Amino acid sequence: MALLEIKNLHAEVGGQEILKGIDLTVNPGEVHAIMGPNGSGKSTLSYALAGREGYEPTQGGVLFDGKDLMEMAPEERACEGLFLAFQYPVELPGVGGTTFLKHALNAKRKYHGEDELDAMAFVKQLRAKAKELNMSDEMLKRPVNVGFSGGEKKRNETLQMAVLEPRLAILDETDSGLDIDALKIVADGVNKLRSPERAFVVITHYQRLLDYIVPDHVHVLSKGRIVSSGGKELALELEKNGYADFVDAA
Amino acid sequence: MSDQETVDPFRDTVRAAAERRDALAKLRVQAAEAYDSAGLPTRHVERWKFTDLRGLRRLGFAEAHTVDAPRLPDHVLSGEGVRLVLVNGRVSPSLSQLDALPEGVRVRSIAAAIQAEDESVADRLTLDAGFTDAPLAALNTAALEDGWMIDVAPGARVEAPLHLIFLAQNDASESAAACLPRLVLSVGEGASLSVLESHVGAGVGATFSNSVSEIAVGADARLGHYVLQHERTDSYHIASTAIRLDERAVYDGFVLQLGAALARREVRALLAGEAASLTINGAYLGDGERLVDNTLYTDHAAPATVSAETFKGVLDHRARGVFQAKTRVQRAAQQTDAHQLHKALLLADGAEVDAKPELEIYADDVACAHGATAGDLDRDQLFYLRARGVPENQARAMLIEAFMLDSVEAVTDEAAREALRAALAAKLSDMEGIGA
Repeated sequence: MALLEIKNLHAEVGGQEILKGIDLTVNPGEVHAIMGPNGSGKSTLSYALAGREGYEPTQGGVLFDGKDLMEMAPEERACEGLFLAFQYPVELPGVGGTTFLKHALNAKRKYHGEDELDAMAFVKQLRAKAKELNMSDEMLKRPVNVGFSGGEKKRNETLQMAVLEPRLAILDETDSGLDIDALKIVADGVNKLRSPERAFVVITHYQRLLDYIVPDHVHVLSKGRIVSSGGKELALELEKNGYADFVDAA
Repeated sequence: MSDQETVDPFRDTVRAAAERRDALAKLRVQAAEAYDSAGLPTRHVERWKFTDLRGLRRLGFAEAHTVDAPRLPDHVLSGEGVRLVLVNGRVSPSLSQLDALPEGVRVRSIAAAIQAEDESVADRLTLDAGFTDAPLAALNTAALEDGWMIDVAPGARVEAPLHLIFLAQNDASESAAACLPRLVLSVGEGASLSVLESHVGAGVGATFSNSVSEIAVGADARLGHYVLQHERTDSYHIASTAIRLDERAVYDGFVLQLGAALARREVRALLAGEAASLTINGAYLGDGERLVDNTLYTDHAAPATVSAETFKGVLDHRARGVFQAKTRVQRAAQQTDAHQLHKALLLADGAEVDAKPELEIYADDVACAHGATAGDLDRDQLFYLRARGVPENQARAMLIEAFMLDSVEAVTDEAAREALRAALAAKLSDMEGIGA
């Protein structure tokens, strides 16, 4: 069964239709890249899938592991295994990083009827994962994303993904604002999480990220529709010729 | 208006107190006169514009009884400390650790001093603790029974904190119990002390706690003063605290208000000596129909004095918050640095806050600022938490806690910080569903 099945999805933001009929099927183990120019609806798609208020689906539907995703609250989607790595991770003053992740992980465990984690074991596991992403213990104690650089915020998103072990991760412009070193660290982190059970949807404007996270499928989004799909060579073509051909075609 | 609302509920108590012939007789007569002529404040009095005491008039009062078996609730501040307990305004010898007092600290019961016909006790008390138009402070003075006189010897660096517990316990539900606790605290030159204060309620009926504290911090001395107000939600809590700071004295204060139907904490601080420094921060939580009032008057009377006041309030349902902070900078108080800030989180349409920071500046070389903000929880933050699997109610509770914790984190005394943090966390987990 497909992990994610989007059928003719339309969505509005502020009364304006942004997504105008998206069809996309993602199977376990696959990495899909969605590329498109600014304003094509990339972020709207990621927010609509994650359940953000104000990103309302008006037609069509989305099945996640056979269940109606659009009927679920954002937290249910997360507990079912959907993860959105934010383009602009949000700062949470007063909420320590470790506490935040403990709450998130325990919420997921509770949802699945599992016991809460032993605090010591959790911290040990968290530290090991943070170390792989070059994050210090001190960063884990600090309030979530407060005073973090762009690169630190994206590493933190990757850490959250590593801890929550989603079945589907949507990476929304994870490459934006990253220098090449930070990009490599984040891409390494993502690649370590690739597995036959897990799928990724990588949303990006530029091909650069796809050098490090190599996709199985590439889709071009323009004016709220997928106008072209292909293999990883499609990304290279876009890099060379730009979006002009596709934008005109849409 | 019914009779109950027009008749002053404390008039008889005060008049009877004026007849008493003890070491405080003279002060009692003056205080009774002051109370009798003013009566309970109404909203026509400027400083009481936002806080209405009519509910207090409607309660029928009995004099607070002596409690045979006082029950200390669990929610007093946690941690180490030498406990000094007042039950309904009277010293509880059994709950107080009077034999464990740290060196350099002298503690006396006011009742014991009156009993001993010690005339000097009258010199330690003032009619209204320096408050103007303060009938409630006068009410305390006129009818006071007991309380603490605490003196820290000059130069004493006291390690163990004192934990002052003000327990209001009413074992009869039909009438409210009125208690009038008093505290006189003097920190000698160069001394240092931390005080934790827990104002809590027990029993089955409503209480009215009307306390007065007179605090003096000598030159080069330091006082840390960390206060929890967690009274029963059917009770009234009025606290008047006067603080005087001499040269280079430091007062580091925090007040966490979590309970009471109506709570008003009024502080009057006089920065009398050069380079004295005052910090009073606070956080409060209101739900239901409760009202929480923090009123501050800060008077800079000497050069290079510093005051910093930051309060954060969370208000849900139809609760109300009041923040009145007036800071006066006298002509002599050049190089004064004074800041006031109030931030409120309003979780429901019916919740309300009245914030009135005020500066009155007569010196020309000063740095003063004040501000106030009010708003709802941040939607982006809520979504971020929910997108990580945290249920909405829990996400809201986490953000509310974070908002308030942020101010607690600034408390410099580690033990006090931990105790305040624990008190806040316990309260929030008790009231799951706040803001839902």
